[in-house]
Amino acid sequence: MDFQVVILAGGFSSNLQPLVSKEVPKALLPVANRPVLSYVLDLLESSNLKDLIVVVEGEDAALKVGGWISSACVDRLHVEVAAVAENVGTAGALRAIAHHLTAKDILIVSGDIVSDVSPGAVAATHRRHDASVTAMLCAEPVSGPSESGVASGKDKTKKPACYDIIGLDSSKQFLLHIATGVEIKKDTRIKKSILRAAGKMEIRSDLMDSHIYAFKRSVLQKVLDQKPTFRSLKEDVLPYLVRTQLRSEVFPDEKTVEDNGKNNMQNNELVLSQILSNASLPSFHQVYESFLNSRKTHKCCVYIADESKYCVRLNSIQAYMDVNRDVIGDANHLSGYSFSAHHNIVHPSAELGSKTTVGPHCMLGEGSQVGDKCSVKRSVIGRHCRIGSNVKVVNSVVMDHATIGDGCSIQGSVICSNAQLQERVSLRDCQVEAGYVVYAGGEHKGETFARK
Amino acid sequence: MPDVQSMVLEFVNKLRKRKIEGSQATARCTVELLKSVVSHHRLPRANQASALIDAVRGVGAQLVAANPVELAVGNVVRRVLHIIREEDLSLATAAVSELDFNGEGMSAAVVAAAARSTLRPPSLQTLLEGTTESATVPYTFSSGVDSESKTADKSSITQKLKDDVRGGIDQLIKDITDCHEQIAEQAIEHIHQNEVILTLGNSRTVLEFLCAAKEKKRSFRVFVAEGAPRYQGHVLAKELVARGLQTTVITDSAVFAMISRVNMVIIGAHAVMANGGVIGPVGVNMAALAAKKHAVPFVVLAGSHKLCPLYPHNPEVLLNELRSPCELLDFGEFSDCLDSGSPLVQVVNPTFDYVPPSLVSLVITDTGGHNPSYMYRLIADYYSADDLVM
Amino acid sequence: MGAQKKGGARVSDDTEEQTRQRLQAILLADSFTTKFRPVTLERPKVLLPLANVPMIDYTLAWLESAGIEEVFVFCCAHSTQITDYLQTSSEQQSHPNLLVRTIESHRSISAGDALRYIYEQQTETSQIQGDFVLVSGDTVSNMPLADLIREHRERKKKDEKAIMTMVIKKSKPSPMTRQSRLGTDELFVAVDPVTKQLLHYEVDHVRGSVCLDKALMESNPSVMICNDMQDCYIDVCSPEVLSLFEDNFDYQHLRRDFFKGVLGDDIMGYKIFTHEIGSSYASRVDNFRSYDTVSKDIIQRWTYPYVPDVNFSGNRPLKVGRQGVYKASDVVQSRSADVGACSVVGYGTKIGNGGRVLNSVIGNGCCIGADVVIEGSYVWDNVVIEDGCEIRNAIVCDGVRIRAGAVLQPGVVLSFKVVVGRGFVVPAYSKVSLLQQPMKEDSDEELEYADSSSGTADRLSGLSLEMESKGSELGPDGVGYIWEVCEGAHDEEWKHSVAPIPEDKLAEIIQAMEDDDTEDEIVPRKSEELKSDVDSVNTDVNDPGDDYGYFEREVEGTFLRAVEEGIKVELGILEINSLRLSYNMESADCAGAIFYAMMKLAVDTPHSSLRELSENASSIIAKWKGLLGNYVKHTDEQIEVIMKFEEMCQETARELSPLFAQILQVLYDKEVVQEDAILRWAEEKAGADEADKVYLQQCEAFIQWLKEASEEEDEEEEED
Repeated sequence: MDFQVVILAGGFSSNLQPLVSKEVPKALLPVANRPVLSYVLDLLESSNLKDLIVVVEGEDAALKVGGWISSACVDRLHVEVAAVAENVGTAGALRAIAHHLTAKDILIVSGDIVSDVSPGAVAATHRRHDASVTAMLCAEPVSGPSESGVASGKDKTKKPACYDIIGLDSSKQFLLHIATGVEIKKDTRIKKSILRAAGKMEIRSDLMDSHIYAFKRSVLQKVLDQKPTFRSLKEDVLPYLVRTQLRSEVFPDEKTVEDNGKNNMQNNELVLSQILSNASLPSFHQVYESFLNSRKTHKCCVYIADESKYCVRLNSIQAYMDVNRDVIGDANHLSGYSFSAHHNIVHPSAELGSKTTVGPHCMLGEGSQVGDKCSVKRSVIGRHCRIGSNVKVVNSVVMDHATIGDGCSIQGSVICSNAQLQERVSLRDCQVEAGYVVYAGGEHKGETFARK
Repeated sequence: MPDVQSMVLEFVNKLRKRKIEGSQATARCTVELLKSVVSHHRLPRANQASALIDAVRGVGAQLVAANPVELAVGNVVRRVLHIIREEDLSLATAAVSELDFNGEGMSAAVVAAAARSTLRPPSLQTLLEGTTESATVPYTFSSGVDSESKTADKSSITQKLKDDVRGGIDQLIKDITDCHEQIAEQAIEHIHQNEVILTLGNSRTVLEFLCAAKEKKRSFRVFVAEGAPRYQGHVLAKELVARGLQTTVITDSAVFAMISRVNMVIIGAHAVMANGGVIGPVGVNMAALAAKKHAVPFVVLAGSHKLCPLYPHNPEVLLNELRSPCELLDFGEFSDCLDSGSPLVQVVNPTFDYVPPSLVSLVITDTGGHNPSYMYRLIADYYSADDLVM
Repeated sequence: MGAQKKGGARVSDDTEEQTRQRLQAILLADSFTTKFRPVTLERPKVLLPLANVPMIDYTLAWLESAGIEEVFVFCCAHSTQITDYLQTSSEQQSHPNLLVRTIESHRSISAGDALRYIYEQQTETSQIQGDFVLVSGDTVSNMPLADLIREHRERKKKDEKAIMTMVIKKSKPSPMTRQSRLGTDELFVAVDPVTKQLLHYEVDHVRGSVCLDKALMESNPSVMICNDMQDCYIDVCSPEVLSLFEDNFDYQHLRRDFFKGVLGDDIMGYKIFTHEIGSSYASRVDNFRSYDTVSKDIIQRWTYPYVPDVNFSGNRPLKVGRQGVYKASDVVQSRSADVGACSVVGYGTKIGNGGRVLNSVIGNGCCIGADVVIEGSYVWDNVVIEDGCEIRNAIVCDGVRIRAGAVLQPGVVLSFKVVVGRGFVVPAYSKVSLLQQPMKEDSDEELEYADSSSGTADRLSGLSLEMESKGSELGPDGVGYIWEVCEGAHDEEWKHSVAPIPEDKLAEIIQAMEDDDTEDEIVPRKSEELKSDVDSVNTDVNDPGDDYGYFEREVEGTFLRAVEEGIKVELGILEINSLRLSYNMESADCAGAIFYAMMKLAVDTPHSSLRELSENASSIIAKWKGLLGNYVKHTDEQIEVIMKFEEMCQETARELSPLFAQILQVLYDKEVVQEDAILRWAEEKAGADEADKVYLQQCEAFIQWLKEASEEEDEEEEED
């Protein structure tokens, strides 16, 4: 189906400092020793979407991403990488690459999603309703696992729990209201006009907008042109479309020109959509149009992923930890690795010292060396890491080429590549920037090590 | 007699609120009520019969008014009145026989029968003129009794009258209660092996009837038209299946399509009019027409209490009842049409259908099967002509 | 026949099943409103005929057949009339299974008072044993209460905070008729889709948006907001409800106050639940429009078995003919007269030659002359309508006499015994009564009519006499006063009248819908420009926290008013000073606020290009610098202004940002800000990090120039 897929891979996002760095843009952040982007690409490939545009903020980031892609999956997918200026926001990014967009519908996927919800389903829903925009919603993830309660607590303090307040119609097919929770200080306001038209609206605060959208190209471009101030898809474009869905201003003018043609086309589209969405009655849009003629409406649909599906965005360090944990833990079908009997992955080329235990839900990259009497629990250890003896690694991520001295104890922390921990360092909920050296014998808690 | 009065009111209220539906139930209650009325009614010395009749009539009028659609009430009342007359008559004749040829072995009943036969030659026209006679006759007789017999047996007579009437009413009650069985007994003669029966709506009588045939090891199929909008057919179908009958549920609109495969249509009547016309659940007429078209016998089951001495054209018969439209469509559909100043859409939800006698092949009552044209005759010996108009 | 036997069995046994537990109901025989005036001045609302049967009979009959054993009829206005009526009806045994007790109180002026009164009674005679059904005497329904009450009791067992279950019914689906058909304000309820708990109840047609508390959203993940529901005003209450009313003596209205109170407070944590009824009917006669709608529903038999041809409570049943025409057996109708669809004609009524009656209700003992046209109207008992009258969508009460050739235009209400003069045309929507319109002061107390009806009676007699003597507002030979509509009630007028909503009004409604679209479209629009989301804007509005926010808005308001009404600067200063005192703000704050207001005005005034915008801004500044100047006497205040400006440019009014330098210059030229203020600001900013520097950079040149200017001055000073 002619869907064009745009992956918004972002750049060096600030709230993932110091994990991302000039070397490692967000898109290439390793999750279970694979770049995040690879998960997205697999996901798209799985639903046979192979015509991709990866939008990266910043030239050099673009180069890096492009390099990786060409190395990784050029053969399977037709990917083109586009670089846009930094801090233009998602909408800005799309504006910048608008000339690339040709297909009838555009599927926009955020580059930092780790999920197993099929984008194909979203696309299908979009087509079925002949919608202007279709957003994928999934259940709020439980942020911060029980075992690393400390970490989650820390996360809470960092940023308040963010709800999306989402209004659905009674058939749970249309999006009637959306507000991103962090913006809402006190209470939600729902427009009566839409309520009137729809009759019923179910307000859900347990759903999360998971940054997979399908847009009608015409509509999207129209909006981007009309509203130069829009920066973000989620916070500007989508709410705007939802707000104005009963008073649509986004229909391209040529449509009105060949109006009669459009009508009957729309009619059978309408019928089709009714058949497909097995709705016996016309959707409230048609009703509304019929009794307030001279009104154009456009449909904003939703695809709600069921609870069992996994979908997390890599937008905070906490999220990063969670994702790593889940991918080698509960949601290991995503990782694409085959797990050993102990539910862990120890690369054959990895060397384990004597009396060293690697617990379940762990991963040891190739060529990593672990000294004696170490214990690794629920952690990911990258390639070619050197880990001394008597080291405890729990709920942590150690990236490639990290060096960890003897007697270190690491909990709930992220050690970026090439970082070095000298002897007897004890870290708890810390992040260590790439190539940083933590000196011997330090006791650290909840700190971030980065070069100023 | 306050208790009776209250009972009457109670019952009237029930009827009004459409609390007791179903002819049989209504009939039963009515009879019970009338019985207590009769037994509580204090009789005057002179012609008790007419006094009693007036009492019963008074009550009856109220009941009928309360729910004119439920014809069974009227029927039963008339039946009771009839009983009273009969008994009075028989007593009278007995007295006469005693008086005239004193103590000649002639049982009251026989005389009564004789008297009746003399009094009522079974013809329509004499049904009408019979009123005068039967009105006068008992009077003269009983007056004669009063004049010539002694006070002692006077009281005994009053007692006797009451007892006989009560007896008669009990008989009536019995009839009503086991009319199902009575009718079901005849099932075997009508339903044959490997037949296909079509019925519509839900009727206890029909159920019993079919099951009776089933018990007699007859194997046959039943088509049940669902009887929209109340879908009583579904209920019937369930019960039939529960009793192990081969059942097929069809929509009412499919009746005509199916009728060609049907050997007999059996329905339960709401009432059978004097002209042999039948009032049944809505949709019956359609079925009857279909049956006629395909020359399929159309059989109606009706307990004797459903025989109505009135004719469909009588002004006081209210043949139908319109129920709430909500059975057809939920409140608010067509709202704009219904709301507008002059509603363009009317929702009509009748309960009953009238089947003209020409379409009815057979009416099976507890006394046996009859041709619809024979109904008036049947009615003639259940009801006395001067009760027709109450 | 058998078919019905099944049905019959079902009905009867579930009634028995209820009668096992004692069921009670409280029936408020007083609407505590003035909606039905002037009619209710002479007769209580519950005794007004609905298809020729008093409303209260529908309610009682329904309650009885739903298995209620004891009902307390609370009467306030015209209590004597009501009690008498109930007396007679109980003598007629029209509700034998229902024990009707009356409670009288003349002090109550609201449902709240009524319930409080009952509660007080309760202390002496504990009448109310347990849960009870609370209805008003104008409810028409045929819903079964058994399962509702069971449901309520079970819930109550589980959770003793669940004190009330209210009945809602899906209203007509078309967005047009949904809310207008009953003439009530449109209703928004938020319900928990699983537990059916009522979370939010809003009857309001002013605001363009429903607003839900965030706490609500957090506490329950999923909330169903319904606009297509209608409130049936049938509630199953637990005794707590009464005590609640007792405790909060300021609760008046069942919904407005009580619901708000209960839903509002989390301390008591009482819960209200909803019960949606499907096929069965329930509605309340709240105003003339719903009177019309409900009558039609009755005629269309939605309320079966409470329909004119069934004798459900001592009423004489009519005979139903084709097209839903109900006629009494003894109606005298001339051959040429035509009674059209959906009409009811009562006993002893005569219709003369060529009369036309169409979906109207005509009471008992009416006499309708020749060539009379009656459409969509309600003519009550013993009305005399002489030849050639035209009556459209009107209500004509008992004993009215309409003389030949008179015309009632849509929406007219003629109260009792009014006489309309020969050939007189009663203007649309006018209410006519023999009684003078009550003075404003007593009309505000919400009562049907407080004192006993005897008072009215003799007042009437006297009045009618003097009416006879002098001509009347209803033509030479007419009797009665035409009430003028009290101000504000003009839209109520068509909204609540029996007349169908006129086309233009329909158009208006649609317009209104579009308007509130656009109206709350404006907010987002602004938000797009001012780059702040609609939610945050609105939530500021009702966020009691930040005083400054309020203050700022107040100031803005005042300012805008000043601009519109061209108020003098001095006055403006006065007003703003008062504000400043009331919020006790620094003059710096005022300066900021005023400047903010000015810029906002500049932004909001339509402009195509930046140039225009800057022109707007400068003109405004020029115009109001007096006002602003009053608060920027000191350098800090001036700096404050600049800061504010900067802030605006960054956050709320991005499009000003390119103009920063220009406008700053304007400010300087207009001597709103002195140079040293600018310079100091520049210095302060110099230290700040890149992000904040943008504007500094913008007006680099300007500042440079300022610096030089000052230096020159210095040099000059040195020279001499």
